[in-house]
Amino acid sequence: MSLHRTTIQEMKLTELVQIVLSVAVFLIASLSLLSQVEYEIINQKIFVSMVAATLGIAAALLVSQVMSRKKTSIFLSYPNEMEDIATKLGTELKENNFEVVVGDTIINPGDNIKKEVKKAIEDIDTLIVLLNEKSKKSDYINTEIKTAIKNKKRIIPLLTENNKKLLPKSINSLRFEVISEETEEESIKNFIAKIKTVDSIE
Amino acid sequence: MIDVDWFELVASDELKSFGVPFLTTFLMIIVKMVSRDNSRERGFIKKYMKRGNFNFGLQLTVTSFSIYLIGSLVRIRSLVLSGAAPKSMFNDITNTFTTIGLLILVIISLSFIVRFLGWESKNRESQPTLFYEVILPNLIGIYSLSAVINTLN
Repeated sequence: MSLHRTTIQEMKLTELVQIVLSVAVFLIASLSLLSQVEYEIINQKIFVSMVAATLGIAAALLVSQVMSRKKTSIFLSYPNEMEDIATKLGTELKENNFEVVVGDTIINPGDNIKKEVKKAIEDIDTLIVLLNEKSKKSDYINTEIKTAIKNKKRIIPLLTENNKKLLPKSINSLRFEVISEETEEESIKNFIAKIKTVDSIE
Repeated sequence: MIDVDWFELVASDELKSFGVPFLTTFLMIIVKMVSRDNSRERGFIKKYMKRGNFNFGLQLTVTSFSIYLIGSLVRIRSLVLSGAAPKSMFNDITNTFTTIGLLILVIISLSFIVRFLGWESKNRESQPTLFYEVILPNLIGIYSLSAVINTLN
C-alpha cells in the first residue's frame, strides 16, 4: 500500500520527518525484537497463536451476525395531527417485536432532514403511512412514499376512515387498512395481527 | 465420546498458545461492538462492520508489553530466589530490559504511524487508511501477543 501523492505533498516538513523517524525506529526495534525470540518458537507456537487470533476474529463476526438477527423494521410516516395514534401504534409494534423507526428518533439538530429520512427508508423493510384529509398534500409524507416506492419497500396505508380518496395518487392502487378513532386500541391490535401474518413482513 | 483430561488441559502449553489469542481477539471485538451505540444503523454491515470495532492492534501491543514486563519481573524474582549464578541472572535481566525498551519503542513508533497515516490522513481526504489504521496495527498486536505468551514460561 503506497502513500498517495497528495498526502505527501500536503504534509509539513516536520510531520514528514516525524513519520520517517517513526518508521525507522519501528523497523529497527521490531527487527531487534525478532532476533531475541528463540527460533524454534517462531515456527510453531507463534503460528498457532496467530491462527487462533484470526479464528477469534472470525468467531466474533459470527456471534455479531447472530446478535444482529433481523427484526422486521418499519418506518412510521404520519402527519402531526395523528401523532397520538402514531405513538400508540409504534409502542404496540415494538411490543410485538418489530423495529420501529420514526422521524424524530433519527434526526438530530443540524441534520439534513430529507437526507436522513431517505437513508432510514433505504434500510427499512416496510413503510406504514398514516393518512387523513390533510396528509395527502403533505410534502414530507409524499416524499417518504416516493422514497419507499423507489427503494421497492412494502407500503401499508393506514387511514382514519374507509375512504379511498384519502390515498395519494402514487399509492391509490394499494390495499389500505382502517384505524377508527372510536375503537383505536382494538383497531391497532387487529392491524398488527394482520401484518404479522404477511410473509414478507414476518 | 470425547475423553479429555481437563485438569491437564488447563495447564497445557497448547491451551495458552491457542486459548489466549483466541479469547483476546474475540472478546475485544465483541465488547467494542456491544458497547457502541449503533441504534441508528440498520443491518449487520452498517451496525457492526466499522473500523473502530476492529482496530485493537495498539491495545494488544500495549497489553503484550504489560504481560511481558510483569512476567519478566516474576521470572527474575524466581531466579533470585533459586540462587541462580550471578552471570546468567545478569544476562537474563539485561535481555529482559532490552526487550522491554524495544517494545516501548515499537509501541510509540507504531502509534505515530497509525496517527499520521491512519486517523489524520482522513482529514486530507486522501486514500483508504484501512491498512495503516487497522490491518498493520492488528498484525503487530497479534504477533506481539503471540510472541509474548509463548516466550514467557
